[in-house]
Amino acid sequence: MVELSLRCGSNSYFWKLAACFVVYVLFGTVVFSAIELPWEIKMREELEAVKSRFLRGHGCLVEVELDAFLRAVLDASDYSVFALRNASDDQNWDLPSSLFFVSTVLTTTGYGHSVPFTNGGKAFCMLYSVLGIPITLLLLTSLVQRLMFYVHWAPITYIHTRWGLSLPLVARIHALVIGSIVVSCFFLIPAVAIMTMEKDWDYLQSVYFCFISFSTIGLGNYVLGKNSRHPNLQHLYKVSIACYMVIGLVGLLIVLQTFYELQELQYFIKRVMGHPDKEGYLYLTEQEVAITAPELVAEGSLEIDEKGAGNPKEASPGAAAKVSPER
Amino acid sequence: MHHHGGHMHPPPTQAITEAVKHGVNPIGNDLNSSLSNWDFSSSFFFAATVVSTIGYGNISPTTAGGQVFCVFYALFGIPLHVIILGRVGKNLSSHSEKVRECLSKKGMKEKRVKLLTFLFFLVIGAIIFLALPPLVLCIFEDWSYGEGVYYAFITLSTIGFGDYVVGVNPHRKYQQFYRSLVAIWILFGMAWLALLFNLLTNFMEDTEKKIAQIKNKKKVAKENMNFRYDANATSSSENVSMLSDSETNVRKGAQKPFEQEESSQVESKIIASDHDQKETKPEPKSLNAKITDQETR
Repeated sequence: MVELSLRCGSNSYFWKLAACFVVYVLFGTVVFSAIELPWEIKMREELEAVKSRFLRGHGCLVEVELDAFLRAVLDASDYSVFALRNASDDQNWDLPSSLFFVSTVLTTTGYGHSVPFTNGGKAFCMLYSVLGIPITLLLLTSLVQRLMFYVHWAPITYIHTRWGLSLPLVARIHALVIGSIVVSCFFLIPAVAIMTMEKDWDYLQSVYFCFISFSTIGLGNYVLGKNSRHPNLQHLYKVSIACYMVIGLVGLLIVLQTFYELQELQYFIKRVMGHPDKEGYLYLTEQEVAITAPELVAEGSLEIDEKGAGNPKEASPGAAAKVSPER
Repeated sequence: MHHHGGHMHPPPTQAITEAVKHGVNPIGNDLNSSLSNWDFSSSFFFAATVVSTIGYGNISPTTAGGQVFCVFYALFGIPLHVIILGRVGKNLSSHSEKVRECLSKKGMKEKRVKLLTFLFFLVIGAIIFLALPPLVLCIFEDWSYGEGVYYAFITLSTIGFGDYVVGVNPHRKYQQFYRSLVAIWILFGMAWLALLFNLLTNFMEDTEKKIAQIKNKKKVAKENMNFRYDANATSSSENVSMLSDSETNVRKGAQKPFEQEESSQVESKIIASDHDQKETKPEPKSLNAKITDQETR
């Protein structure tokens, strides 16, 4: 009876959340359109003006011929082969660039700045990712779990036992500290370095690039290494960028996992996911509670929640591992 | 790239390259086509690709305001999307119970049943989401079947290169429902991936539990042997600690019983929270207690 009402409650909660999600997407639609559409219209007009001026200034050229030329140039530039005289002539598929490409595929970022052109390349890309992406995901999650022990549990329990602060408070402070360390180490500080290495990027664009890369969205309108100030360091630059992407992703996952385990978020997520199913998870929780409850209650780290069952906070990483911040 | 509104006559090639980078195609009447990049349906498509982290990149915000908004939008949208997908995967996985029951009635072991369920959904989903939709895409787009499959794969894995994108070819007339159909396909495809991920983690958790159980049994057996032949309790605790792998270093620390009674309990809580050792928790606790008793005697 209790479980039935819980399930109904969590179902309606889920549909509310789904409705919020749809509203959120629509909200983004409207705002993006409002911001970008005026500029797009203006750009179209400018381009039209440039083109007609060019055609007028070169009377022998017919528009059809110009279009054919433009099409050839644009098709090549789709694969990052540029026709401009002063375009950098570093290759897209030499070894360091290929390493960079592989790192964008395995992290599913996928900038699109260089894409396989041949059919063989495309087929290999698919097979490679079918194996590579799950392996990468598993590796990243297990790495994050191990690091979480040193970065999350050990400091928190140390501070909790030595200084006697309550666990929720320590957890919150710790989350903030970790969050700000990672944000500054992987976003704000590297953005400065990136800004100096790339030609026309300012600080905001560098931070934007870092965010778009680490969230694995990977739009691709900004890509490192296209226009750098020090062309002789290209190879080293590309290899180090590939490493930076992966390490930064690990750092971001640690931050996400830390926030995920905050009590407030746990409560919210439990409401969405529904009460843990009886078969595996809750039974073990009760078993753990039966063993550790007496000492933990004395220690003050066990919270008795409203259902009257002991609810040790640290039992939650089981769910965290299942719904780890992977897509 | 700095887009200044009012600068004079840029060199033509540069203007064209910049325009193309921002999705404005200079060829022929595409320039004046009604296919805008930022009308409602295109913006909707863009918002969806941001939130699902596919991120094609054929269109991207060019203004500073758009980029800042994009960052904050993704910051909240991506976790929201992940949470919803997690719940959907869980729901679907509970529906896959029927398949599991059907298989286990044939008297197979549970682990094999889980593996077969996973493979079943993998194959069925691959056919529905990766093999069939490209047939439809071939009709609407100017692609071959192979290119359609490539596009489907790159999209559903959320890599999203952007070399192939639906609905952006200015030479073709698209039906109104076409893009919505593609969006629905992407949605269901991601739900299928969430289901697969859920099934896979279930399967792997069982494997890990079994491995942990086997390790623990070995340990207890060796422990019993040592207690029988060894009068010295401390050396047996050393043997036990040598058997632990790196993940149970905490347990080694917890076997120094004199001062840290409290911290050993905290550390055993940590062991409990390590998710592949949940079931083995009772045993290390009794092990600690046993060694504690013997050493303080």
